This record gives sequence, structure tokens and C-alpha cells, in this order.
Amino acid sequence: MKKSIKILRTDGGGDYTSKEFEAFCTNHGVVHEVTAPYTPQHNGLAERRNMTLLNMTRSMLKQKNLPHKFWGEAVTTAAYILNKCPTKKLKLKVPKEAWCGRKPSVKNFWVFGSLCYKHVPDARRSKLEDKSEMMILIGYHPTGAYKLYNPVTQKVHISRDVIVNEAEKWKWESESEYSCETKKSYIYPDSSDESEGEEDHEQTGTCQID
Amino acid sequence: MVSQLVLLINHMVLSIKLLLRNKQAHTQHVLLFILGGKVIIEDVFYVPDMKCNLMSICQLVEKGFSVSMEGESLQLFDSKKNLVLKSTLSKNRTYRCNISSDKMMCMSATISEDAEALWHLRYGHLNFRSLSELSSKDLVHGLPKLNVKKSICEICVKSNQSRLQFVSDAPKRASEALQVVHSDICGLLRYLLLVVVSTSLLLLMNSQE
Repeated sequence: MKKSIKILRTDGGGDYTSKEFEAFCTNHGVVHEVTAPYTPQHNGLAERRNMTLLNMTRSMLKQKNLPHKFWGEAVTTAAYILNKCPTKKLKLKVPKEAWCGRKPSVKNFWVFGSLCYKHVPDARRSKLEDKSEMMILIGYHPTGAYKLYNPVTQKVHISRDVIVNEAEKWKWESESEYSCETKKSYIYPDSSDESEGEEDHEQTGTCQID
Repeated sequence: MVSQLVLLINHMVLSIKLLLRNKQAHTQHVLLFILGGKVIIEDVFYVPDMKCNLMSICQLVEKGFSVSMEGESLQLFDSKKNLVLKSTLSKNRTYRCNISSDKMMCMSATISEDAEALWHLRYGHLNFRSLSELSSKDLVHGLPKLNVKKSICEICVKSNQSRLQFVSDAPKRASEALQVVHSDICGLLRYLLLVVVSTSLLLLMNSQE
């Protein structure tokens, strides 16, 4: 698919008015249309989509009581989801299908911000150490893996070996207890052990089969 | 709704679990069987479409019920020794009884609603209209058939609510002089009290330092 942008319509925000950007547009043959100042109405399409995107983001963060710092991940995930949602313009397709020509799958969808257990690769642990770490699901990776956040170490991981417990969320109020550096092992929020986590997955797993 | 209940003496949970996987239900559910009074048997696998549902006596005993089998009749008592159920032995050595409960229909509804609620969450609180469109027009792979009903999600209301439209049924204009008087204070360097008489748009102004 060899197609190019003909016209780019933006507001006159500082992000779009730099000389470099202008040069880039002219080099690539893109006409840059700037709407009249203080007239967001002329950029309605983008503004309306912004509203949908942020509404979804707000809901997703609220559902799992996530702190606002996850807004970036939530917006990215919301955009990923919205590409697989129906729109008024496309009657029998979703945007993703219109773009790449194939009907997308939602088999990998989980509730954003759910508690999940990431498998620790063999090379990263000794024989008797825990085989999973508890994390939060914060997005989808284009290769089919999941993006996870570990609030204890404050690091983002990408893994495809994940068991998701969609009913649970990370308990932030006791964060100080988790982030205690002396404790090496991970504490499970409601003192549930691993086997319970697996059981929960079984339940969610069957939902997917259905 | 009347449904038949077969009481078996051995454990039949595994086969019921397998049956459930093929049916739409996905987890165990708390079921209310109301017989005469109030008796709640919790954590029962129940498939409304099945002609007969099975129940294990061992598990009933584990839940605090007690059973007495004399001759060909079976009597089930709850923890307070109240008679709950009475049935006779049938030909294939099971105890059959009919249970009528209004709650059963309710339960079957909640099973499907669970899937809808789950996909509503997975889809980042997508509105129910779009969700049903996705399901009915078969727009994506991997989405089960959903029977979406319009319902209110608290988180959606909290994060998506917007103002209602201003339709033209605004408060009516007055028909007589001085019936309705509109007033606003307009603060610039001096304060300006503006009074508008609705019928004639007559302006009465009063300004103050």
C-alpha cells in the first residue's frame, strides 16, 4: 500500500509551527493546513476523537484505581482498543480492518490494569525461587506480548507468559509495604498464594474459550 | 419455572464441570433454591437449559445439610433441622424432585450479563451500543455472541458524562409586561446592574462605582 498524506490539518499549537516541521511537510509534499486561532471547531474530527480517547482512558484508570501517571499507557491502549471498535463511517468493518485489510482478533484482550503474574524465565531464577512475579497489565505489545509494570521495582516488563486475574487490582494504599527494599520476595495483596492465582486464571481462561 | 433436580449419592461435579464448559456458563454460581421457606444452597453448578440438574449429597452434607434415607424416601434437612426436601427413589436409583423457583431465571440472565460486563471492561468501557454492534455484525475474531442490554456502568458515568443538549424548550417568554424580569450583574470597572423586561426587551440599567 503506497499512499501518502495529502493534507494535514492541525490547530496552530506550538507543536506544529516549528520551521523544522514546516520543512518536513514541504519535503514530503504534505500541505499543512492550520485552522484559525481559537477555532477548535475547524478541527472537529481530531477534537471529537480526542474526547472519545480520553473518556476511555479515564474509565480504564478509574476501573482499577490506577494512579494518573499511567495515563500515557492508558491512552496508547485506548487507541489500540478504539482501532478495533465500530465507527459510524465504516459500516461492516472496524478501523483496523479498513487499514490493513484483515479482520482483527480480540482474543488477547484483558481488562487494563488487572493484576497479573509474569513467568520468570529459568535463566533469571534459581531452582527454588518463585516462578512468577506479580505485576499490573498496562498494555499490549505489537508482537503479541503484554506490557507489564512492576510497582515494586518500578520497571516495565514485556512478556508473553502472563496469567491475568481480571477480577483483581493492585492495592496501592499499602504501597509502602510493598516497596520496602529489605523484602526480596513479592507479597501478594490478599495474602493469596500462587495456586490461587492460577485458579483464577482458569476461570478467566474459560471465559475466553467461550 | 419448574426444573427437575436429581440427587445422586456419588460425586458428579467433574462431569458437570465439563458440561458447563460447553454451555455458556463459565464459573460456578451461587444459586438460591427457595422451597417453601428460605433455603440457600450455595456454589451449585446449574445449567438452566438442562432437563435435569445433578446435585451431590456428599457436598450437601459438607455444606451443613443432613440427609436421612429411609425405605424409598429421602429427606433433606438444613442445619437447623428444618425439612427442606423430600423425594422418593426412582427406577435408576436416583432421587428426583421438582423445584420451582423464580430466581432460576434471574440466574441464567446474570450468567450472560457477566460476559457482557467483562467485555465491556476489556474493551475499555466501550459503550453498549458499539459492543452489541461488534458482536452482532461479527466485526472481530474472538468475541463471543453477546446479548447486550442497555445498562448503566458507574465508572462510565463518572468518566464520560457530558452536559445535555440545550433544546429549544427554554423557559417561555412572558406574555405581559413585568411578568418575567431578567437580571444579571455585569462587572467591568464599574458594576452594572442590567434588568431586562421580557416582553419588550426594555433595558433598565443602574451602574455603581
